Amino acid sequence: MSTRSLFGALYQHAELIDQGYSDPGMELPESPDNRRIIDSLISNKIAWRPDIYGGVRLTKPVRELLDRHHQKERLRHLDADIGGRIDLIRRQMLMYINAVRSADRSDDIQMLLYSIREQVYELAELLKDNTRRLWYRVENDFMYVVSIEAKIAENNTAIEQAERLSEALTAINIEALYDDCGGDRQLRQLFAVVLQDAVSSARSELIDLLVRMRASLFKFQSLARNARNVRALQRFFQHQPGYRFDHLFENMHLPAPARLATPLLLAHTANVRNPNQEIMLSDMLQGLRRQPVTDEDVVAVAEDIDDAQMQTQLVARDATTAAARNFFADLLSAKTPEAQSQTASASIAAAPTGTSLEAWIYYIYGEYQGMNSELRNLFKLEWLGRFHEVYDGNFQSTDIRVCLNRPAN
Amino acid sequence: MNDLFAEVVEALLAGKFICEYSNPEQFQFLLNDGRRDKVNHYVGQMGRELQCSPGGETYYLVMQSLARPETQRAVVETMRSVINELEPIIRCLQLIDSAQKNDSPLLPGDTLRESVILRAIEDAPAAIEELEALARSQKFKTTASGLAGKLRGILAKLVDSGYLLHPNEGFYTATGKWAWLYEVIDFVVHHEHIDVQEEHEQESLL
Repeated sequence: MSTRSLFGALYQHAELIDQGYSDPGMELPESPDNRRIIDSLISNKIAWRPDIYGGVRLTKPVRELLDRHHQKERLRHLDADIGGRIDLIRRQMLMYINAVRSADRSDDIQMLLYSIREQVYELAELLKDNTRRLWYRVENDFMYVVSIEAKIAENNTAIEQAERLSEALTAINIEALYDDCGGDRQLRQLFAVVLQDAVSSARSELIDLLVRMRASLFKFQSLARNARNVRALQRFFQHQPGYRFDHLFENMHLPAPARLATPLLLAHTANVRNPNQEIMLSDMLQGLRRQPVTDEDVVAVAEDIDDAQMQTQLVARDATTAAARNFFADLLSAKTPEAQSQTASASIAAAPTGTSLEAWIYYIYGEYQGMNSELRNLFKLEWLGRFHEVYDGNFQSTDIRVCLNRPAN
Repeated sequence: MNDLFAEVVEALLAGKFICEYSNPEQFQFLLNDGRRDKVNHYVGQMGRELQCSPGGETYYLVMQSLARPETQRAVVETMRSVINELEPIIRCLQLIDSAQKNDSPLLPGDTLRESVILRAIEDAPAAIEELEALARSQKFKTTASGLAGKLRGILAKLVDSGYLLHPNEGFYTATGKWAWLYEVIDFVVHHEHIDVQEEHEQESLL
């Protein structure tokens, strides 16, 4: 795109661009009438649409250009000439007092009083307006500028302005004005009430503002530091990919964030000796027993996996798993009813030498749980044991019995 | 009050980062000085100390002292894995930031839209390459095919590591853990004397 057409587009649609810049969400107003203009701004890279459902925004370079322009504008606008206004009020006050003293100037008295009142109210309004503007900027995180650097610059400017304003307030010597007005009730009311209120409230607002602005400056500076660090580390990794920082730990003076505490695994063991917990724990255990086994027939959503990247790996089955599988195969091939029902303790000889009964029970149970529902329905599994003598919610299993699940005739 | 105290202490001891976005109720609880002192006193008896990021975004536990060799080993092991995972995390962060057209790195509370990031990546061949490389890295390894699947896989890994929350389909929220990570990065950059001067600054010095 040529510079001429860029400036042409900027000039032609300046109003629309300005509306977008002033919008709190930084979005250009869209309507059926301006669709072609918006398209032209997008094609000229003056605006862009971050998201098909979202609005159109100005591009970063355009926003930065406008930021710089508006920054200068704002600097001009927040320049309250408090000293000049106080001088004017003082001069008019002296003229007013002189007019009051000379009896033939009653017209001037009214005019001058009106003018002093106007000046005092204007000054009060100006102080209020200036603090309000500063609050607006800081509360909106200086959103009229985009880059962090611009926000830091804006924040610094705002701090300078607040300090200048605060300093200018010291030029307002209300006591001197009060003394000089020579007992005039109307002037005293203006200075002691209207001006005094405006100055006190501006002073306290400025104190709060400065605290807030310094905090926000700290925040922006932290953001800028984080951004610089991240970019620096990125450049570092570009030059030295795969670099490891193992030697960092030779130094044991690690700062707090690098001394991250090792996570602890907290035990949540039930206290079976506590009778207060008996009913609740008993309910929980019964609930657990009632839980149905997972139904493998429920169709799961298939993961999108690239088969070309998959590798086949054969996993050797261990001897105990093979023995547990044979345990079920023997049951299926058994002819007599006695042989169709088997306990773990009676079949321990089939397990590899050295297998404990407890482990054997778990292997048989694991094999049973690992079957699909169709195969599992061929068997019936029963835990053998007894309930605890004292705590009857606690079932102590000592063996497991598996038998063929023949349909009833 | 006691239930919340127990929840907060358990979460912290389990190694969680408590922030406004991941655990709002627990975060509110810790904003109170008195309650924070009680938590600190409790964890202090286990050699731990409650720590807060400089901007107050997140609370987490650190070891009070590294005098015990076991503690030293455990802390070093934890930090070694964090620091040696910085490269893929930084690259991922850059990818997200450039896709979101952000000037500053991801901040706690920032919202990410999967569709926006994906569209920005699709429009830039370099970003596509970067995404492919990240999906092959150990930290973000994913077998998913297609750019969308890979991006989702990477974002899911950031959710698992506690850096992002996944409140709604297609939307992610950055947690306070980023604030801690930036402190760690600051430590690494300064301890390693990594040059933080930007390229344009270096040019202007020449």
